[in-house]
Amino acid sequence: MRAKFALGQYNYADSFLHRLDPRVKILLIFFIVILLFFVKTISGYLILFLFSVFLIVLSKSNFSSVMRSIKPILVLLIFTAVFQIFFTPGTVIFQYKFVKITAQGVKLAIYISIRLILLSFFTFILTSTTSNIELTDGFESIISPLKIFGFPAQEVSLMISISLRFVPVLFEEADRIMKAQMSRGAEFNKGSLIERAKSFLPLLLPLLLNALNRADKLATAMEARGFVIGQKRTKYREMRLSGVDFLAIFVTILVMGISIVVREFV
Amino acid sequence: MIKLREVSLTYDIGTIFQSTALKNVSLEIRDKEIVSIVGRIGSGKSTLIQLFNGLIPPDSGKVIVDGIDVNAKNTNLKIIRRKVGLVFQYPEEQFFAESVFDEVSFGPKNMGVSGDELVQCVHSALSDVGLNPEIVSNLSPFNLSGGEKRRVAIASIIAMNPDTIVLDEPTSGLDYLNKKMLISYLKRENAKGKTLVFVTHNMEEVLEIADRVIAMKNGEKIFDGPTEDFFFAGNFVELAGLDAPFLVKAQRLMRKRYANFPFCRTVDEFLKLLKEKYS
Repeated sequence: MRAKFALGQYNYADSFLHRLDPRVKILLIFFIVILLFFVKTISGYLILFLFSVFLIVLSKSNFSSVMRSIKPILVLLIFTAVFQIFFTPGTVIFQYKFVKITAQGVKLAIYISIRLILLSFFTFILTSTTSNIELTDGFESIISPLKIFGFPAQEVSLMISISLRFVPVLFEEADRIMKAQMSRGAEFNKGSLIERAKSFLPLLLPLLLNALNRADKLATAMEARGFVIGQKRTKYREMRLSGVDFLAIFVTILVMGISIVVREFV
Repeated sequence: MIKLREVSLTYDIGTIFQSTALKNVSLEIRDKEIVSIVGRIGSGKSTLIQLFNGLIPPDSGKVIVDGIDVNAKNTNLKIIRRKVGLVFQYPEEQFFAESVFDEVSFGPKNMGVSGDELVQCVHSALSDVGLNPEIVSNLSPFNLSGGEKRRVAIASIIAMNPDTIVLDEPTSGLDYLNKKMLISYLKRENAKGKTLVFVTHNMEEVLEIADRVIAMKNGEKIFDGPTEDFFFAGNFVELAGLDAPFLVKAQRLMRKRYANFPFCRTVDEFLKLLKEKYS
């Protein structure tokens, strides 16, 4: 495991987007993603695409990491596109035996591909400019009104931030235990399916035990520092809306508006 | 015999976490030696020992164990891992079996040992680390004391009967008595003909048992030679960013006064010498 720490997409840089309030970023990206499914024209998508490229440039990310972020959804993308091409009813433009391709199918496939790609672009912009801590803080602040209905907002966001925090730790530990068991002659990728499943026991059991131990210690450490669940807490990072946030909201709403009312140019 | 030839290794190339773990390191571990690898945290010690049994391949350079190129395509790593037994730091955190016997037999079983031979292996490994096989075999490894857990973990490597035992900070987190015991067991393994390599921060242990010291700093080997030279032929201890133990400082003073003051490995030896010859 050479890429020990290259987890997540957060790009350690300082840009206009990094400095925005996380709540603003989360909500704006959230609405853009919803909007993606209501835009009906190619020109609308073109505007959104240019907007996403503009934001990626603004966020100082390099394009290779953007491409890497698309990779995981590539299979899903091809699958849905192919599915749409062959199984949408409409005017047939190509037929070979029982295989039919319709104009509507092709159109739908293109739309869905564009939507998925733009979706991953915009979520990339969010995750590459917002650290995990900011994300959970922002998330907590956004869902905190739900407290009125008895929703445990603080607990849920605490859970999320703790699990996010320990993902790299678990990965490192899994790597260490795996190496230790390999030193004792264990092989994790040989034999039949059952043998393989069995061979993971010496990895999973210590991993689970250590995770439980760690959770126990963490709980003690938090209590020792006076953490009480449900108690009002002050924040290390106060989130405050500033001028740039309003600028970002204004620009985004403008772009969203244009993309939905723009006429098809073809 | 383990040989490293101009080995270099960098983690996370191309990310902001990029760090060079090893720079052009060449070294040799000869048979039946006790070699200690020292250096500060992040100096590349742990990476170095993981090269010995092929757990990580180097970016460049070669690792050769008994004439076999460890990272060649057709090398059977199981054979290498049987020759070079690697005990990780806090090895008791890798326990998974229901009984001490199952835990210790995991290694030899993977190596294809079975039947009476397996029982023989496990029992002799357990007695090697001072545990009574009759008593502990059926206990759960999780219910043992800290010192016993550590010894079971080390036994689980000894049970594979490796030629070389490599240990990453074997005594860390143990109390004084357990440390002493462990060191004496390791010494005994060496007397039986095993090569011993151990990473440590404890200079007293180095002074007490190591034949040779390899000191690392920022991924480079800065010293490789006899233990006596490491402590007395210059200021290598300080160069490696470590602190010489009291016994070394005392001997340095004595050597200033008496040029041929002999090399003492333990406090007892030193005191005896002072009493008998230098009082």
